[in-house]
Amino acid sequence: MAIKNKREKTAGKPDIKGKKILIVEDDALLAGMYKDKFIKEGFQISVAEDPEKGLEIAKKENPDLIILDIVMPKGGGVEFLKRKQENPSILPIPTVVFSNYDYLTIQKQVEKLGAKDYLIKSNYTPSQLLEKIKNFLK
Amino acid sequence: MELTTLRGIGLFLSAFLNFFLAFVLWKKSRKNGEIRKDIFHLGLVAFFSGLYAFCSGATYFFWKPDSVYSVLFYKSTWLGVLMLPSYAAFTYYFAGKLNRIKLKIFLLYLAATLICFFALTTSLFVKGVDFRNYNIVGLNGPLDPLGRLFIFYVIIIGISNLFNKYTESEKTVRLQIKYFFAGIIIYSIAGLALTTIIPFSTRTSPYYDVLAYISLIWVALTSYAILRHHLFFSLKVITAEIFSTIISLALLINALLSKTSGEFVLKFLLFLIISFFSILLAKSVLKEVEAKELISKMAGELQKVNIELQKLDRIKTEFMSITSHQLRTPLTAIKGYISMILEGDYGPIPENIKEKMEIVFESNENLIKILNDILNISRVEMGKMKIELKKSSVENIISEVIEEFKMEAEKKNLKIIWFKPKNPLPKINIDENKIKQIITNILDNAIRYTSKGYIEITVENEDSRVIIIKVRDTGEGMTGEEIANLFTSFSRGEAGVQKNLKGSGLGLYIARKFIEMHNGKIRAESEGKNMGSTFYIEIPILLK
Repeated sequence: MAIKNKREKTAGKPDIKGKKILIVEDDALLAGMYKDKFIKEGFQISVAEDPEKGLEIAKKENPDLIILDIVMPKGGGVEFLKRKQENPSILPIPTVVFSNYDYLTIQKQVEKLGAKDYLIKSNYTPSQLLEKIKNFLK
Repeated sequence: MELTTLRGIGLFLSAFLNFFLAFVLWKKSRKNGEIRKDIFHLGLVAFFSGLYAFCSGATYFFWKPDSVYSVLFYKSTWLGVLMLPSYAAFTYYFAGKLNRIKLKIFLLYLAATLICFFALTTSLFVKGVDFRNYNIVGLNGPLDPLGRLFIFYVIIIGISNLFNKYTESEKTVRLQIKYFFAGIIIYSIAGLALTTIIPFSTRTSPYYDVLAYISLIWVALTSYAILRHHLFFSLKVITAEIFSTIISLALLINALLSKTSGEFVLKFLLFLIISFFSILLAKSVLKEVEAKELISKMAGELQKVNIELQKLDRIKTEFMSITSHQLRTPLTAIKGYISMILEGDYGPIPENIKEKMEIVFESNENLIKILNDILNISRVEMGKMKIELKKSSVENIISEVIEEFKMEAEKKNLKIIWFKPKNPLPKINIDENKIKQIITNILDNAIRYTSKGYIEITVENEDSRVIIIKVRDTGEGMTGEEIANLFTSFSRGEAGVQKNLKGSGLGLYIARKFIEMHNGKIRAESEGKNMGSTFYIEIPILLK
């Protein structure tokens, strides 16, 4: 698959720059990678390593978008979404599930819990992920 | 015919059936050179039960008032007590009470033999016989109660052993021995009533022959259990053996009764020939039965192995699924960082390194594709792949896929020609992701095996029942044999083996599985090597 030159792509849409993204991801290497990329593209990034911390940060910082892993310690992404639904203050924040586990049952579950999309990590480069989530940042 | 004679015949018949069961059990007790002791003793019970019925039969069949023979025949019915040591022995073995069992059996046989001896040779047990109310009635001697006590004692031991065994057995075993158990309990209780309680109270023995009839219930239920649950042996063999023996015996007697020596020679010859074939017949039946037993045993084992295999297959598939998911994470990191390096996120990179990095990136992409294929297969094989139908446009899906392959085709200088239908196709109920995967796999395949020329995609919707997507390439083509194996798992055409080992060889198999989920078909055609290939994907429109 070819790699798109993202500089041209993001340059035309200055309106979404500076938006806050929360990455809930337990794999520090991957979290760091996306953080690098998104900061370079002008976003504000927070990283939480488990759902509990994720909820805490979400309540405190009120991000514009949440990127959520599924398999994590302390309940995982599904638990995060459940608890997010119980919190009216963070309920409207769009959440995109980003995981390497693509079980249909989990997909259905997170869909019901209000996730905007279910993306498979290994199918996206960081730039491609960015392209994909821009729709939810407008 | 006198009524007594008729009753005698009835009792002889009962004796015959008891002997028959004895023979069956005796045969069954010897298997593979070993003797099943419980079955052996049960066979003895049946034998002595037959003897009792026979002696009872003799009393009626040969009945003459005031005859010494009548008394002697009646005395011989005491031979029936020989049933008891065998009965006790059987229940001990059956219930697994093996403690000093040989001594117990010996003592019981000794007692029974002594009783038989004195009953037959003296008048201590039988004073005489009488005929009252249409029945032959034994007049009990002074030692009679002692004999009855012995019978009572042994039957009580036997019944208690049997109940022990029954209550300790598991439910499935109980079901198996149900009929057998009922039979022997009925026989035991009847024996208790007819040969102990009544003679004790009346000092005579009026219904001794009834027990010989009741023994038939026991014979019937035990035989039924044998047939029903293959408890002991196949009756087929026994029947064949007995009938051939009877025929041979009849022929031999016939020969011996010959009037002239010429007639004897002829009849004896006939006897020899028939006997010879009878033996062959019995043997062949035995072989057949043994073969059947072996087959059913093997079928049972095969079933076990099959269940084991299914388990292993499931473990394999689960293993595939778990590892594939795990492997995705490091591949995601490689993909991410290399893409960022190539995009210049870490500063400019020299052209020659960029080229190599692109190769690494492509290899990584292939690895991810293979993993996706394996995951799809494992899902299909686990039966976890579900179909999600939605009204969608096949045309749009094709356009999307072509868009994704544009760069790759350009790199190889291949043209993708997309003949869009003049009139837009109707939206049909399909699983969009799966149809997309099918087209992706076919197009990926076409690009991979085409080094120059073009790939042409058309869509037909001629009879409004089916949409046919046609993907034609000017690539390497296939032989008939390659086409035949094309859509099976882990297969790859010869071209694939020799050249680009990029794919998993699972793509077309997945395509087939996915189109089958739509009740559709996929097939390939090729004029031969270097003549290009054409793939047809048929999606039925009438899909609920």
